[in-house]
Amino acid sequence: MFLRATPRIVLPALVGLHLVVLLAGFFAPYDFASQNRMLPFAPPTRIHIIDSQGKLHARPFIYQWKATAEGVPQYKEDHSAVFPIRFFVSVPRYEIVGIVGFRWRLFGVETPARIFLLGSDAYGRDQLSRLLYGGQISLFAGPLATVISLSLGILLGATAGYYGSWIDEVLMRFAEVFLALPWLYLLFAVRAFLPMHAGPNQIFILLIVVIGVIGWARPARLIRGIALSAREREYVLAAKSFGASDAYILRRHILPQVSGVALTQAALLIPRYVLAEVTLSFLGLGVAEPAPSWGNMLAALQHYEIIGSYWWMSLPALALIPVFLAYYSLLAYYTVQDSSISEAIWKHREGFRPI
Amino acid sequence: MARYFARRILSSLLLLVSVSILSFVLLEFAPGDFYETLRLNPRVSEATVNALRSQHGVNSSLPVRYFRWVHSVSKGEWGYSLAYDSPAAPILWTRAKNTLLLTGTAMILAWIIAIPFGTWGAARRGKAPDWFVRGTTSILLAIPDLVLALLLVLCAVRSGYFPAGGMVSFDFSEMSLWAKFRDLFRHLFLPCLCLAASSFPVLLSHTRTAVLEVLESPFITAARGYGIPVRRLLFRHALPAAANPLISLFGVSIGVLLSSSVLIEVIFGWPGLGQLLLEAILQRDFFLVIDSAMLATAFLVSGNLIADVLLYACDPRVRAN
Amino acid sequence: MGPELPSKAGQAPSLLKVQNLTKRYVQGGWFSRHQFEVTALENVSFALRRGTTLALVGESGSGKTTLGRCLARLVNPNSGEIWFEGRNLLALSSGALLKARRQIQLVFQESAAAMNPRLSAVEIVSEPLLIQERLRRKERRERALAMFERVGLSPLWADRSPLEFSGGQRQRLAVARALILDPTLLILDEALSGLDLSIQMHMANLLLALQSSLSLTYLFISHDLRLAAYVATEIAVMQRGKIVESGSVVDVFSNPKHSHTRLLIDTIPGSGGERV
Repeated sequence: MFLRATPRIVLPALVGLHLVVLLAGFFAPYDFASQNRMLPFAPPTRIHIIDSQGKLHARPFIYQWKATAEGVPQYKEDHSAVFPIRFFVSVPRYEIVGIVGFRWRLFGVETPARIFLLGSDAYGRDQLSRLLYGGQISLFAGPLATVISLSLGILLGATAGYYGSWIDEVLMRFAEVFLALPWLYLLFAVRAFLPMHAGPNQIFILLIVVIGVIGWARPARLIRGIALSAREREYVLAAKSFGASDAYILRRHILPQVSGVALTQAALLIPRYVLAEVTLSFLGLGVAEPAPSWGNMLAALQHYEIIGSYWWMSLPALALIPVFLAYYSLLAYYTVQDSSISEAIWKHREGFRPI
Repeated sequence: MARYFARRILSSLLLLVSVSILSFVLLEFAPGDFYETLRLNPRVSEATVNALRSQHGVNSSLPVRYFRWVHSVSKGEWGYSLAYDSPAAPILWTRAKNTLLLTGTAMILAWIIAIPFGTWGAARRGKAPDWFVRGTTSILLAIPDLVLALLLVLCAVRSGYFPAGGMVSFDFSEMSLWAKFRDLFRHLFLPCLCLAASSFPVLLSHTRTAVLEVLESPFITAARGYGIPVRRLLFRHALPAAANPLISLFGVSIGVLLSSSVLIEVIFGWPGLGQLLLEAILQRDFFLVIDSAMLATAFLVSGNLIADVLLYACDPRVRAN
Repeated sequence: MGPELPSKAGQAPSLLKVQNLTKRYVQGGWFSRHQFEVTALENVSFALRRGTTLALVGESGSGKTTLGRCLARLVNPNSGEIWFEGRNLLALSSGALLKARRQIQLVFQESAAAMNPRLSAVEIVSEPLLIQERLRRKERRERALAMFERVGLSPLWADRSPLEFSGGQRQRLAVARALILDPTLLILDEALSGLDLSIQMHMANLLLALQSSLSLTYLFISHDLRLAAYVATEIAVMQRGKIVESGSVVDVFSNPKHSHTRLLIDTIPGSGGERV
């Protein structure tokens, strides 16, 4: 709410984050499913430059974690061997987003050491890798579902507002039914009618579609309002008097007005939808193991001892905060933008126009 | 005036009916039913499963099931819960009461804090209190309620003062009245706080905006010119004028609060409607799903009705229409 | 039954002939108990000869704006006929209507409202070309700029937003837009009413000049009788949806027959109750 230059900083940061997450395969040292049963709940690996003998190394390196006791996840650094961090390591072929094959990862260490920059979970899976791969699902669920909501909202809202009469009545009553149900209840109920167990890709698409579709009502109402008031404007009448078709008027005069609202709605909906996906996965209604989502990663935290003893497991939760901050600052910026444009237009009008 | 409310109540009822139909239609597409898991059990024969199904009318067609449900509602049973093996109504009522307790308290808490702070921030616009208010809003907005809930659970575990979940302790029934009250309070405190915190930023910022708009209107300037002291100005003149958007906000915030309560109930183990809904979905306990969704909708719709009544009572412009 | 303008033998046939036009609005929604009808136009009939200016005067609510909008086919009347160049406007197919729209143009009162503030001035003036013709962008711009000069606007202002223009300049813009398709009939709905008096004079003179150079016919709708008298050759007075009196300007002003006409004339500021 404070910076005016907000979008210039925030937008690139968000785009950058999404890119990194998209290329999770490259930035992450391991695959999200590779387990290391010998290293459950390993704390984040410490990076050293000076070794235990006081010698300075050219490259940063790590020590392996060694379990101090059988069965208990307590570790001590094993100073017997030094494992330098290597960059651009060659790995067996993996796929980026399941489409493009790739053979390099940004960094890694030689086996048998493991570099857990953010610790590991109960199965010894690297949390950093899971965070990045999980971000593909959680972070992208937001914008993708928002696109669906906004498209439906613009389509139905503009139609209702522009054509009026019974179309408007029917559509708005329909929207009211959707708005009458508490949102999460509706989400759950709709999720219930879908198969519980399916591949992670299908579930992802299912989630996006469900979240997006049931969220059409609020944007639709707002856009209907805009279309309604725009339709009454005299420049629409003037265009009609030149013989403009409905499609032309919608395209040229009404839809551009919608852009301001659409942006603010997007900034509002994206974080909400990200949270929806995280919540659903958290409760077991979303993406299932072993595919990571920030939600199902957080599900482990429901066992209270885990948060207390292994703080790094709560990182997905902490990661959500800056993302939310980013979107809400964008929202604040766009809201001010939108209202100041319309204010400027009103100020120029001669005379007083009653609302 | 009576006509206005008769119309509103009628449309609310129609809405509830539409919602129930929509829910039925949606769940019609649900693959599998309650007896799915039973079927996987090799010791139970196919015939038994089918018999169970027809006994509970799971196999009948959609309109038949709908009307049987409506009939059951009119009898006060609200359908049959397959998981609990009892009519749904008693289960629902207990859970509903718990949810109401939680959400009601949270709502009161949130509003009680939001109104004075929002007004104060608006009155001291641009100065320290305003920045404080806006800063709090931003920070709280940025923390999703899931994160906040987990954080609070952590606090509970660490501090040991607040129980980590549930609604009452084991030995609740043996406690004295005062002890019962205290026990309930300790269990209620954290989830309530969490729920209030999730809706608080929106309330705070809207209150601030609404009061700010009113403060800039001509009649307040005139009142100031008469020398009316600030506090009286704020609370006797500005706030009532700002009531209109706030009451509408009240209607909307009920829905948001109900939604958020689902997650909070699950995390804190609070036995409410939301938790019931989740269970029912995972088990495909058909009627419970419909009923909890309907009940939640009914709360929302009645909340909106109350908001309408308040609006009518408070704003003379609405009455003129 | 509205009086018809006398058409003398030997004169050019009417460009526009309106017969028994009626328009009623129904207020109140489906469930409201307060449904009532407003009759905006009742059996309105008149004729307009080519090259002349007919002023339609009356107070607010007399139906003049509704009449203008009916003629521009923005509003559909309940009954009646509109004959334009020998064809019934109300019975045209959509293709023929599109063509007819080129011939009849409307200039609104509040130009700021009649122009999309997000478009530039030249885009606004060339919009009719965009809708009706298949010209390339450069040609549209050229024609629009030519129109700018015609109405006395500097082409340097072409890319500015209409909000940056003064009231009088915006009305010129509106006229430019109305003329770009080469219409025969221009309906000016209170087009000069919001302007300062001196600007009104300038605009009125501009309109008269354009009328002769482009052979236009005007329907001048106004509540201002003085302005109407200056611009028009014939006048029709409306009251509550009906035409109560009509005739040439000279006749009506020197010898008003209807009480409402007399009332309007008497209330012209500065007339001192005397006839013009």
